[in-house]
Amino acid sequence: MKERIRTGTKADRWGYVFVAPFLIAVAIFTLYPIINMVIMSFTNATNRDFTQSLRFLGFSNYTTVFDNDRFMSSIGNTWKLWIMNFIPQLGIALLLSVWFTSLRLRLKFIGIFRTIFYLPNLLMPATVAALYNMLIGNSGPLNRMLYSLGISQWLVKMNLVPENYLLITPGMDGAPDGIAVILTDIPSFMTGMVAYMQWWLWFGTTIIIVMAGMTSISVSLYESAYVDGASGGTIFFKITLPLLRPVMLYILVTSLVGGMQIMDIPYMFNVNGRPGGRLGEFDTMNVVMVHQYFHGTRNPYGETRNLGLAAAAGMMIFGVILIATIVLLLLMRIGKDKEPKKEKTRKGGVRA
Amino acid sequence: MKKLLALMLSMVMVLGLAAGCSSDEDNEGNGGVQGEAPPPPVEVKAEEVEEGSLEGNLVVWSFTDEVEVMTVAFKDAQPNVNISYVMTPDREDQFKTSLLNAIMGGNVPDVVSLESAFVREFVENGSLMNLSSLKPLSDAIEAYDFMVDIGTSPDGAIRAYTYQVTPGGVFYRRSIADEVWGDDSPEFVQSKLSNMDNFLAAAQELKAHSPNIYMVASVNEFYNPTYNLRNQAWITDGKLVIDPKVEGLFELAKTFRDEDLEARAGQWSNEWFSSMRSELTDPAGNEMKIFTYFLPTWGLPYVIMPNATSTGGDWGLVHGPFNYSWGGTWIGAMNDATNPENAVEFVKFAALNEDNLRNWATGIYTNEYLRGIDPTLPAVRVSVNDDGEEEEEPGISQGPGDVVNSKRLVAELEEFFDTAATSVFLGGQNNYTMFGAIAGNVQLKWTQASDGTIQDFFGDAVGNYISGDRTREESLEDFRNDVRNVLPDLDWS
Repeated sequence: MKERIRTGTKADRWGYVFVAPFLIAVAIFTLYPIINMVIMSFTNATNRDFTQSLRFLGFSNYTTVFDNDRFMSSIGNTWKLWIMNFIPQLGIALLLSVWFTSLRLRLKFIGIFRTIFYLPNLLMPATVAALYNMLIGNSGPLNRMLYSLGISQWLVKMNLVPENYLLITPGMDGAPDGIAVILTDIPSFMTGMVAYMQWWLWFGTTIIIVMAGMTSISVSLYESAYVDGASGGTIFFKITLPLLRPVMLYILVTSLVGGMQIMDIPYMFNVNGRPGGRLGEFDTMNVVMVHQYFHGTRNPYGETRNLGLAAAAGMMIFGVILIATIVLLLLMRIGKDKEPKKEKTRKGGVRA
Repeated sequence: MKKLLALMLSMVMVLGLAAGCSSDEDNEGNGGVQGEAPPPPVEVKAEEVEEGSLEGNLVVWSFTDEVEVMTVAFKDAQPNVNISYVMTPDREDQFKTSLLNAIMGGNVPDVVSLESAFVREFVENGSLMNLSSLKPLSDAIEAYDFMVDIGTSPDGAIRAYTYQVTPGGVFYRRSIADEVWGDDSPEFVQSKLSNMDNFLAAAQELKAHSPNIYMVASVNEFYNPTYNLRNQAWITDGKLVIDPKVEGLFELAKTFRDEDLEARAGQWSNEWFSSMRSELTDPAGNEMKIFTYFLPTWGLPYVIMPNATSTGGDWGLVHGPFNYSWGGTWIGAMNDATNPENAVEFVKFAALNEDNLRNWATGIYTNEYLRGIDPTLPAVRVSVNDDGEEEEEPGISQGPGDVVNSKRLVAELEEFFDTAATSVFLGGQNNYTMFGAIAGNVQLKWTQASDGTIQDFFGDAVGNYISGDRTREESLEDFRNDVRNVLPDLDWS
């Protein structure tokens, strides 16, 4: 007996050795930077001026960030973009997953579809932003298509696009007029495009997770529902959706955390203009933070503390995400308590 | 066991924190009191160094190809120096950021090239060597004062020199002037464009003649010249100040937008380049003709000539309505350079050596010539263009036409450019004569490190005003908010 216990402890010891490399890596590359950021957010740290000594500023960086209209409006922008991207993302992922896993439809080549939907996720977001920017340029493919299909002409005739967003060239010597819609100048269109790109990049991943969740729901549940004559809608709302709750919570939380930190696409999309959009319409929290970090030039009179400020902004982004996640988890828990379905699952899941 | 693990982790963290702290101290010790630079690690001497006498390494970082030509030419003079050249384009601040990171990490190159947009930042932040003792060389070649001023830090030390002078003018298409007014001579065109009122009137005449002729590609063309007209710095007494001249941009741009006098093809866009080849068309296939381009000295050999080969000879150059300077490449040696002697020598060679500047301006540095010095240089470079296709480009070389930062050489070389390729391209006009005359009137007194950032935001504000999305007041408020985001420590009351 004693012998056995001792060998057990020995094995435990080896366990620590095995996890050590990972923990050390996390401590150096994750934990230390985080702590360092917290410290920096209270100082005048800068990457611009190498002659400036580090001073403790108290909460000054935080009040500056609060006073910064650009940052405060970016919180709303970030939420707007996330909601615009998340609702269609989950909706379409659910719809496609229902079709793909449906026992009635029995679709073929699901693996291929899934791969195709996932493919955009392999691209760098920055590349995608640059790609779409080229597509919607004044003489880009989209504008040429709109014109050759007569849509631009129709838009002009119906007065649907303000004149400011149009580039009309009167044709000479009987040649037809040329019309380009300056899409990059239309704030609502650009915001929509950012949300769309975000959706396009991520809905494939969401489909895979949702499908995994759906296939883990016992088939016998669906079979008995069919036998009882339940409609597709009833099955979806009474079986699929409730049992998918943990998976959806996972998607919601990861998407929220990612969505609050969205940066590459909004920063890169307006390639030839102001990052974050002409009117700052897709200035997200991270875009504003990066601006503070990179463009906070040392000015000849005041002191610069761009690193400290960006760190404070980073802490505030962290705060927003933390609060949102806690609220989300609480909401999901409240909903869960109301439903007495745990037993049902077990009963239904019993095989043979 | 848990205790051991905890101990291990906390030790790692303490070590990490200590590392962080020590680097901060380094920075402090490195620079000393703000604005006061430490003495350079070597004695910077203006005396000439014998050819081939230098040895060791030289690490050069640049954001532009041009400097590579300089490094090869330098090799001719100092064959025993082993040069490693790193080029990082400054798209999205790449070059600037990697240089800042290198300075923070303490592993810096010996020599850097700095663009006008960010040269002030490095001149002011104390990371460049004090090269004031090279001033006699600069005086000997009669460098333009305003170009030297940009490389001078607030404490009066010169920290970067440039080989170029970059006054700007207005390039125009002769065929359009001929078509509309029946006269394409620079004298006549200058009379049409001599001030902003005339410029606007001329734009309206072009429009009246044919709706497909636009005065400028976009209103962005006015931005850089206008910023040069300021009579005060952007930041004066700790406050953001908008000079009335700059504020005038709002109405000027609005007029051009509202009266459709611009083709809305932004600078550096594909549309802009294709308009130089007469290939800019609207979606229906009609040509959109653009009359003028606001570009400085380097705009001719680097921008227009390579992009407008099919319209060579159809170009002219006039002073235009503004005195302005745009761009330029400065060269500086780093304070913490590993090979300071070689670094100083390179700066002397690239920016202050009269023979080198003459060769530079007159196109001596052809690819064959450079390959004669370094046979490993490729004759053909393969690069990927914006459309993702592989393109073959000739290997590095420096064609004639760049205007060098030496009044003496500019006067001396005038004759040479009477018959050069630039002159053929400009329909027989001498670009050296023209730019030499303009350079005398330029001032860059009000340049500050933060200018580039502030001016980008100002351009955005003007854009939002003329597009009708913002009133002038709202636009100015946006502008102030943008600047406040990056420069919160100004007086914003």
